[in-house]
Amino acid sequence: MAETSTRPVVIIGAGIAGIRAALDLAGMGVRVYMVERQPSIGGHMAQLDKTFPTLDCSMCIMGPWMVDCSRNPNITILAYSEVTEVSGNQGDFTVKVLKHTRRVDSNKCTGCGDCQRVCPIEVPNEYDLGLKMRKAAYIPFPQAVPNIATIDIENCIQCMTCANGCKAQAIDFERPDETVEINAGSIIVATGYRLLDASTVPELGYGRYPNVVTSLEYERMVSASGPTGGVIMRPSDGREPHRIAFVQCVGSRDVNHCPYCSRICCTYATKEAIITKEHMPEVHIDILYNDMRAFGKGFEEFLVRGEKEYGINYVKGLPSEIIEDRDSRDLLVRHSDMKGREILQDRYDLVILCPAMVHNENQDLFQKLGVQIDSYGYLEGMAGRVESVQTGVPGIHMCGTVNGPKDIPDSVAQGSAAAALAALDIVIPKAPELEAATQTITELATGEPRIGVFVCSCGVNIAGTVDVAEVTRYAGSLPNVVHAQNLLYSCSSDAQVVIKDAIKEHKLNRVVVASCTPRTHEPLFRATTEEAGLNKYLFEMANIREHCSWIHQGAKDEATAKAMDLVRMAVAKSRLLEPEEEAATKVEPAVLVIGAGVAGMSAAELIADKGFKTYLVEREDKVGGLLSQLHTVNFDFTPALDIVGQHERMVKGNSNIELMLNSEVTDAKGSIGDFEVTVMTSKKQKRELKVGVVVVATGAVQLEEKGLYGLQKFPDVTTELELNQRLAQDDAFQDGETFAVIHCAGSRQDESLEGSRTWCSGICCTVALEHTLELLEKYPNSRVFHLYRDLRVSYTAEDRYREARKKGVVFIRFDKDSPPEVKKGKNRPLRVEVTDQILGAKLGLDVDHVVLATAMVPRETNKQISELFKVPLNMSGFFMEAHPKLRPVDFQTDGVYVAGTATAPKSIDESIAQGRGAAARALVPLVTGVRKAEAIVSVVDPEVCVGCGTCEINCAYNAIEVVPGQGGHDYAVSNPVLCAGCGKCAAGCPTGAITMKHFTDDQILSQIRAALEDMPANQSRILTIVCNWCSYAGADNAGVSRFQQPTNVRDIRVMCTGRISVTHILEAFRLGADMVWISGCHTGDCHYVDGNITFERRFAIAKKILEKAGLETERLQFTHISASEGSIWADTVRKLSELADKLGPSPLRPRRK
Amino acid sequence: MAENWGQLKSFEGKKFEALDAEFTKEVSKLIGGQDLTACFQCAKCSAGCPVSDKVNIQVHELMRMLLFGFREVLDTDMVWLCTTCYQCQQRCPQGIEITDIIFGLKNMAFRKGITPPGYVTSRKALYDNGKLYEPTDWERDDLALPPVPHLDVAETRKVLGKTGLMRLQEGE
Amino acid sequence: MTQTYEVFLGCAIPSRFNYYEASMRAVAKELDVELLDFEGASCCGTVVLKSIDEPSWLAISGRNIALAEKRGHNIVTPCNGCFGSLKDCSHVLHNNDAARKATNKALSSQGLQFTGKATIRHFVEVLYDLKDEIKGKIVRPLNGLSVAFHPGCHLLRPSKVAGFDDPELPRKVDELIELTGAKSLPWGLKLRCCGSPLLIASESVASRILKEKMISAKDAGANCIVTNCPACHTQFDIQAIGMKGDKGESFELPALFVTQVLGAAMGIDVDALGLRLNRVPLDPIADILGL
Repeated sequence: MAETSTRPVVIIGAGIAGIRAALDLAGMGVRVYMVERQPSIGGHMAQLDKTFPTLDCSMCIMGPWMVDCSRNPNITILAYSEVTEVSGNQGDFTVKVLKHTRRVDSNKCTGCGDCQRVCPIEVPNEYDLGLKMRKAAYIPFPQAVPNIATIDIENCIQCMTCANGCKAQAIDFERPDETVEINAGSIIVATGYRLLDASTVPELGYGRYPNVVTSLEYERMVSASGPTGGVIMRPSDGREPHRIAFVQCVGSRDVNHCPYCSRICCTYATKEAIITKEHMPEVHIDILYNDMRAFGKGFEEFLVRGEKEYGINYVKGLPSEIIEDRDSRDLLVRHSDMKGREILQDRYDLVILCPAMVHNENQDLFQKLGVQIDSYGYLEGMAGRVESVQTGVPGIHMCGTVNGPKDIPDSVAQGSAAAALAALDIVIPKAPELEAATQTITELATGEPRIGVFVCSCGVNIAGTVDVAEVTRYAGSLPNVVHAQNLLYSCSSDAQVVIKDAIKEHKLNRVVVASCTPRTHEPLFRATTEEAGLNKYLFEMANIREHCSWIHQGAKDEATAKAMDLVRMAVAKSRLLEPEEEAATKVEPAVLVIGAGVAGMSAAELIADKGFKTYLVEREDKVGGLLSQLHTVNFDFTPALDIVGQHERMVKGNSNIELMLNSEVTDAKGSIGDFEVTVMTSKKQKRELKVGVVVVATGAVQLEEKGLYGLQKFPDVTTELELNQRLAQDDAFQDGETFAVIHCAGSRQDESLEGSRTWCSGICCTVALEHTLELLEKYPNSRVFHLYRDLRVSYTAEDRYREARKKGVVFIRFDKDSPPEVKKGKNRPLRVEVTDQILGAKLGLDVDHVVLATAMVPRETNKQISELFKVPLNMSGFFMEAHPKLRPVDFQTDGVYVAGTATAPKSIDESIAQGRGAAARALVPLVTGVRKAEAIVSVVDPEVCVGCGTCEINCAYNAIEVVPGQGGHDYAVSNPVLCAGCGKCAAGCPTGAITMKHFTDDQILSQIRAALEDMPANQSRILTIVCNWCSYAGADNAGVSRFQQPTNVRDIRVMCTGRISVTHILEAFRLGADMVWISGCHTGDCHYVDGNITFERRFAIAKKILEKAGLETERLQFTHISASEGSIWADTVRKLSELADKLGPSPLRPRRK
Repeated sequence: MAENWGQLKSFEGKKFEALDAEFTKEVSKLIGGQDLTACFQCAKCSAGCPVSDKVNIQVHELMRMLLFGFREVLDTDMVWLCTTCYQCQQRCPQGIEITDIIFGLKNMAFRKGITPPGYVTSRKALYDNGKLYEPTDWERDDLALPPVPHLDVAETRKVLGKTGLMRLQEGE
Repeated sequence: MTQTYEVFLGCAIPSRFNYYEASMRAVAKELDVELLDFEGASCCGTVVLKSIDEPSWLAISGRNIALAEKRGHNIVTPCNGCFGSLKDCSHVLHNNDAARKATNKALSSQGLQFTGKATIRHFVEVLYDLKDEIKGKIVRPLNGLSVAFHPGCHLLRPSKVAGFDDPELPRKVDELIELTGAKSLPWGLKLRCCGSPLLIASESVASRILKEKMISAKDAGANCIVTNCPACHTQFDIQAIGMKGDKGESFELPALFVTQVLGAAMGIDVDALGLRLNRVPLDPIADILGL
């Protein structure tokens, strides 16, 4: 392999998988080119309202990643572009990319959106699947990255209105297409999927009946950022639907369309149903299905919640056709129902079809790349391997749905895995040395504040509503402000020069820019500040566009007044700003991998290949884990030893890997960069290891429960594992014997049972089918019955399921409430009695063998690892990853990663992908050699701290702990390396010993005071504190969408509502705020795990105090608003100002003199 | 008059002891039976069936019985109340030729004498006349239509003699 | 250029629906389609015989095909039942060697052999090929005729055998109807079976199906129902007569054959089209048809 080039990596396709791969590679210091066909990156996930099973707001969790891509200096986004040619090979590819012209100069375009407002041409918006219109000059959606306009020439009439209206003069119709040639070391294919055109299943009426929609259209229909602002209505008449049906397997599992299972539809239908129920609790929802399938951690529990908590009806019986009632436009659907034996005639207001996932039409690209496609047009893994990331062409890797239907977590894990493999194709450039802040600047910073304020016109976006001249004059009049200046576009490159010169000329040591949202532009201005020799934390922003000019277009005077207030608040904070430095730690260039199953070995191989010392610790006397107990795997009956062997050879053949069998981790100290770990070796000796990062891959085991369906009671009741082992022996059975295979043995149990295993073990159905088919190969006359609840196999395993049926295997569906009974038999060893759910008839089966597809259960020893490394387990006893959707191989605690069945049951290829994914995550700190922590961290004053430990309990990152001090004066110490900067500890500290840098109490209070200075007597004043990630972004979204709002809100941005203390609230009231409104993420969406929940408690306390003080408690409000809920933000502002006006001025308002 | 067909009216309290693989194989060998066992019980067949709301045993239940090898299937009303509209077969996601299979079941049932009487009389008419109905000649004259082409019944009888149409049931 | 077929009438048309044959012949003449008599034709076999004994059905149906084949002619039939039976038979004999051997054994006595040379077409297929000619011959537009067209099952399904039109969104015959200025309405149960095959097993179930069909057709706002099959027509133009619902509502709707509709629009004499012989009174649409 050509380990010779420091060439970049090209990623084709910028959906969630491609984005993850890009961020991991960029994190390692690798140059990345992302090629995306659409005008914006994001893929399908950017269109989703929420994600299962956590019901996170999709844009809230994905948006930050998209922005990171645009900010990251190592990533070049080539959106609206296509790969046209590929040549060369591993380590040295030549990739030609055609950049379609947007007819817009991306360097000049500020994304202000003026062009799309003036453009006269309306066309259906692709982002909303045509449910909403866009202009011919457009930005596809508010959070688009890059945030650049595109002129859609097909629909453009070239009236030039946009060109003339563009203050930045960015529009140029003569601009040609460009071709970029990239000399790349490695290529990652992540071109994703599309949905089957539902009109190709005409009997279901899509395209003919307006009230039949697809699941993706419905995703937009329920989304707050969608065409109806989240109000669910029937396309035909805008009426709220009362009866809704979801139809599963539209084109999937159908030999006339797509014979395979699309894997994700059952679960996302449940998600959409739950979202619907949350909008309209009274609505009746049927999900019409064949087998209810849920592949993934917590998905089974999610389905159960849908049924039990939300009252969604799961009805087994697919419709044959959908008929529309001519007058009402209702839909008449006949379908069967397992519960009764009747055919049902149902009438629905709205029907949602869940179409098959089909491959994106990229066959010509695949041809250029020379990669293999399977019979359904998806990319095939490397031949002869359990492989979902390596294409078989050296140097070309894949991730996401390009190699088959899969959900977001699997795509993300694959994204990281592809990044790890790509990293091996190239030499990674050395990380630059960290430069320390120079003396002169620290002097500058500590001196008397000299503040420069730059007020942006943003063309007419701000100036059109706000009197920027007036605001600039006012800014100049504020204490410590030595320079104030108005700029046309403060983000333009020439403006950066102006700002830098001003800093030097006026000896500025604080910089304030009053323009747009810091969420997108702060990095730019911080960089400018830094280039001028100032510490970048001495910069502050006032958002007078999204939070002012765009939402008060009708109220120029009030908007101007508000802009002044916002500037005054920013200046007040900037006075107290201090230079901050990111704590940097050296990372010990070694890794500890716990568990030598396929996941652990896959992780170890890659990390070691990249040249890092790798300790691979395994408690058993051999590698391979659960897999090594099996004889064959997969439908081609590959000997398990082949797969284990492949990895074992790689592990043993790698001099960087030290494999420690019969060994156990007994102790661990430290955090990312320097862990000190003690291992008890096979010779019962203690071995001290120093490692920078840790990968947990401890795997899972098969359930062995005595008495379960007669297990270990009757000799002829065995597990799938035993069956598979016996198939290895010759004449283990006679040909012609009868077998009953019982599925879900110990899985999918009712939560009410004590210590119940509520989860679906995911792989058992597939494994059971593999073994049955192998049995029939060897003993063709065997009679096999499968007793199941839902047959859960995905993608092409569906073909094998069909094969088994065609070979005469009889599948009997039973209800979970009447499981089969296994008894001693008369004419045959065993008798199985079961009620067939479809006929409702009792069946008696006399069989020779009963085989149990038993549950996959977590290892007992997980507890120990969990305590040693302070990483959590869930209630089932599996490890809990940082985020079930987007961070499947991370722990919340940085520097510790997880892979394979340690977190939940998984297939072999998923485990391998996760092992490699964990390797990529681990390689980021290892390769860079240093870890730059957040500068925005907490510090404890040991003098004031009483060591009560409240902070230690509160911290979700194990970043703060109480240490013993002299004379029994214990005190807390915060670890800047682990601290994520939410500020929960500071807000919760009873003695006020903790300071949250950059969001200090002094700074927040100064903003509060500034916000409440000389309030007009005739207007109510609402002081708002919002979290950076959800509600502030939601307010931005409202701005971008131009949702007009009352002008009486003044907002302060903190990282998390967990930072907000009772003192802040009370101070605001003391100064006469008529209302104090806190807004954060939805429960479960918190960027810092549970900051919003912590605040919930303080909120309750504050309310009590208000009550005692005799203030109306309605004056204190707490809401949850997500990044995509701009309309809800606007509505809430209206609602709350009405309430504030109703309550009248606060009795604590200072009397006007 | 009491019908002798469609006597199996429900599965209430029914218990099936033996699952007869042979019967399933037998049906698989019928015209259209090749994919019989591919059935995965989505019940789309019954959803599109014009009589599923008018029978005791629906078509997806009939398919279930065939997979289990229940010969009792011949006693279900679904066998003879299938209109032969082919909608189930047309839309079956597993490509099973359901309607054709039901034709085969009708044959089996007829041989056992389990059939609506109409089929017995039709069989006779077909054998005797080579046709189901006779022309209405006066109307044809009014419309000046040519006479219906001649059929020598002996020919059709010879053919049906070879196929043994009149000797299908025991004792015929 | 003249097309020539042996026309297979089946049993139902000569006994009950001679006016279908009359209108077919009249239209064929206008379009220069030559219809030869089908000497020695027996029953097509029908679903009835297929239900009783498949070998006998294949033999009887196969015999008819073999006759035309022997005379070197192709077959056209105006009946879905015959079309389905003959097509299905030839499909089976093409793909099932055992069945073909057995059938040919039964036919050998009469010196007949099925080899599958003769093509089998429904009369509406022939008409669809002549769409443009028909268009040119429309002299009496039937504006105001709102048609619920009932294609019937065996014209479309199984599509693998019938192979005429889209089995889910059939348009071809509708296009013919709309050439006349009539409107072919979309209606809920358009593709649903008419129920006629059940008349032999259970008249009550057959009539329940018919009622559902008629309700759907009337809801769609049709002022007539149009078929291309005597079996289906038996339901609409015979069984429907006098049929009453629970509230005493009627299920009658003027029932026409597609050839009568085209013929009327082509200005062919209404008597030659047998338009006075339809059983359900045509009064509501008499003016449109020029009765």
